[in-house]
Amino acid sequence: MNTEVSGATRQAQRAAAARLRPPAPPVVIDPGLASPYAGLATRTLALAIDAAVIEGVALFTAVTVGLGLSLLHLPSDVNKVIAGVGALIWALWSLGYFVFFWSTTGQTPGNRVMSITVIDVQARGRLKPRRALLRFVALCVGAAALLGGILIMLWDDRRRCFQDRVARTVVLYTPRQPL
Amino acid sequence: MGVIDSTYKTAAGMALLPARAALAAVEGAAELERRGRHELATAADRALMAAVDLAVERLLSDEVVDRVLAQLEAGHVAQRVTERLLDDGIVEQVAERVLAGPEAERMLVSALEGPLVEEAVSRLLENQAVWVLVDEIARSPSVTEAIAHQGTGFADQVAERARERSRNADALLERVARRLSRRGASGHEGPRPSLPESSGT
Repeated sequence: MNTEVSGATRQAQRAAAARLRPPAPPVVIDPGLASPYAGLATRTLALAIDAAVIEGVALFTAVTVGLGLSLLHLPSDVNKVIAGVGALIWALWSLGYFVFFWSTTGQTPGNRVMSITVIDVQARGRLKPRRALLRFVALCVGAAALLGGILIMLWDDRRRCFQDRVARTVVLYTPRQPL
Repeated sequence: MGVIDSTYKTAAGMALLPARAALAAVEGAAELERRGRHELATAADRALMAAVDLAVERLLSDEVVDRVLAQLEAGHVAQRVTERLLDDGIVEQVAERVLAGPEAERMLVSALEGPLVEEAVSRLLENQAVWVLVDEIARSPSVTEAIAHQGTGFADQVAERARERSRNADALLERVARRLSRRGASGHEGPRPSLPESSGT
């Protein structure tokens, strides 16, 4: 039998997938919990995992690029410029990481591991990229204020941090999903 | 005595001579009648067969067949025969006989070895409904559960334990913070958000 998938078969597959594909998967709150909102410890662990991923990739890239540049014997001024560019790339990488995952699935890899999801309260779904960008900026501001923007979630009924209040989001527990 | 006997025999023979002649004549006539009858039967058979051949040839001509078929169709004969076969269970008997015998196996083998299967599968794969069915099965809870269990490894177990403990820690931290701020240690929770029925994550 011919094992190659014909064009008509691919077309049927695509049509079936489009027919079945919902606009977006529903947010399912993990049942059996006193509060549906993710708390400080869980969110801190998720952020730590994300930080490890971000920094791991950044470190690997920096070491690779640094080793390559060390062979060139560049002037110190050039090295400073390269370091500045590297820092800018690192900032953009960190920003892009969070904005991308928050605005696509609502779950960063760390959130996925900890089974929590960021949703837009108004849209009742995933964040738009602009809102995700605003949330990231607010996260940096809240963390810079001696973590005050994060710790306020302990006294919030919906466990909202500063970035959640600014971006109008909440973070929910979700059932475990395959990693 | 010898003369008397011979005379008697001679006289008797002469006396029976007409009877013998008559008997021979009768036998000859019977044989002639038998032969005639045989010849007559053969000729009749030939004539009859010729007539039958002519009649069959006439019946099998297109016009007659068409007329017969048209009349059968007009009288719904085929439908009646079909209903009768179905009502009487004859079709079931035929089907059971075919399935029980080696004919079905031979037909199946012949069909599988032929190009029919390949063509059927190709047509099937080109059908959108098939892929809808496949996707529905793949998304079914039993399948996803089986895949999830299959993929559960050490990392999943660690993550699961971390999730459990972190959720307990969430509530604990919140209680401690609220006690410290004297804003109620009962862990008052806010209402659940009214999530949409189908919203993106």
